[in-house]
Amino acid sequence: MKKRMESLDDKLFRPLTAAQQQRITAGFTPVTDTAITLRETYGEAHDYIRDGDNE
Amino acid sequence: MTTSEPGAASANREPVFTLFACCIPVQGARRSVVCDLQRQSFQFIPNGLYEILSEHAGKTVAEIKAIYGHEYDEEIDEYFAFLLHHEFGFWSSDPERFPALDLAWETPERITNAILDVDEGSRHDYGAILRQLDDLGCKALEVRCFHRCSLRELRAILEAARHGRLRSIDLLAGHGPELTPDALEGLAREHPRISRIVVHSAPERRQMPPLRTGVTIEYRTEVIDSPRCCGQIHPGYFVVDFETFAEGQKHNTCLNRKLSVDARGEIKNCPSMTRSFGNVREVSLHSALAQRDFAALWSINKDQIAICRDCEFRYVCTDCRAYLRDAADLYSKPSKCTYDPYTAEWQPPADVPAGIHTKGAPE
Ligand code: SF4
Repeated sequence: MKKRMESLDDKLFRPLTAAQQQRITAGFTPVTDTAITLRETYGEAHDYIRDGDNE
Repeated sequence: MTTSEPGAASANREPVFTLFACCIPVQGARRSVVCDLQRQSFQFIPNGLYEILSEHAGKTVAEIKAIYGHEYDEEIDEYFAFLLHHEFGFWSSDPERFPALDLAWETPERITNAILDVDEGSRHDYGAILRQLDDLGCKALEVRCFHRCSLRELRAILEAARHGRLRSIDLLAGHGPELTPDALEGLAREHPRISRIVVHSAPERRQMPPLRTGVTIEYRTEVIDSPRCCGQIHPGYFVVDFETFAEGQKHNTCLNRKLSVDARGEIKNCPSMTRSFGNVREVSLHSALAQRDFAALWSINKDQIAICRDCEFRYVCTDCRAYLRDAADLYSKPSKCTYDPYTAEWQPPADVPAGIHTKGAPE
């Protein structure tokens, strides 16, 4: 059966607000990749000129 | 917005809408989402649009409108404008050139993440535990101190991790007079593996600006005095990234490759669970892991869990197998989730914290 095409304006499809995404306790989610990994790869101050092999 | 160069073979083909590989629609009972794994966000979409993106992928707009008997032409135009606006995809005459992401999840580590619980009565040998976690390849450790902590205690734990291979340490500690923002900043500088510090039972709520290294330090008034505080399901804990999404296809998003040592030294899947695989003072983490049932819960994924399997959040929601709606049914929904995917409503609404007991307030 084909679905009814609802309008995106319906309140059902509004993005969650910042308040709705606030953590409600200080609990943690399991982290397997960390901010540190990201920083290593995407660090703003990354030195792309030196490449280790050809210092 | 990218549009592929039509090749010679496709020059005469009508462009079709193609989702970026990292933008993946997930259907729920009442509504769906498009998860943008690169931007780490999601948007709600109607199930009708999900149907267009899945069943009618590769069809032109004219074909799609015709399939629906031109009853929804306006809505369909609105849908594609929405998808373009959010940069979920592009028009392409060569959709075959853009294959889907491979969501197979593999990792060389036997354990990727661990929890270590500590209270006043704990007698952990941190050096021994951390060395064993290293051997297992553990990358992320969460240390949860339920009691009022001194800096000396926190240092003892962190020193044990100083030369290991952990990539991140999340610290939860009970408020004590020594845990000032300056002292914690100093600790984070001394131990760059720290990624986050949360001080619970604090007299007031305070969020320090993130350090230059990205470490966050936060004071919370909630009293987190036992593992029972864990298991919350809430949009604030959703993790929208490739790692979690891929892992969630076939594995449990909380317990997979996790090992925990509770405050008494019992080795468990999760400190909130009763089943122990031995005490860390007598049994090595390796032999606990080698026991037949240790990994039994790792493969319980959301597609197998009642109600969750109909929820649009199922691949971004971190699961809980410790607190279940039906304790006798391992495949029942987490008891602390108040979301109903059949009505798309949170009870109470997501912005009203539920059941959290703050310092000084009755539970
Ligand atoms: S119903 Fe299941 S998948 Fe959906 S939010 Fe609740 S726990 Fe997560």
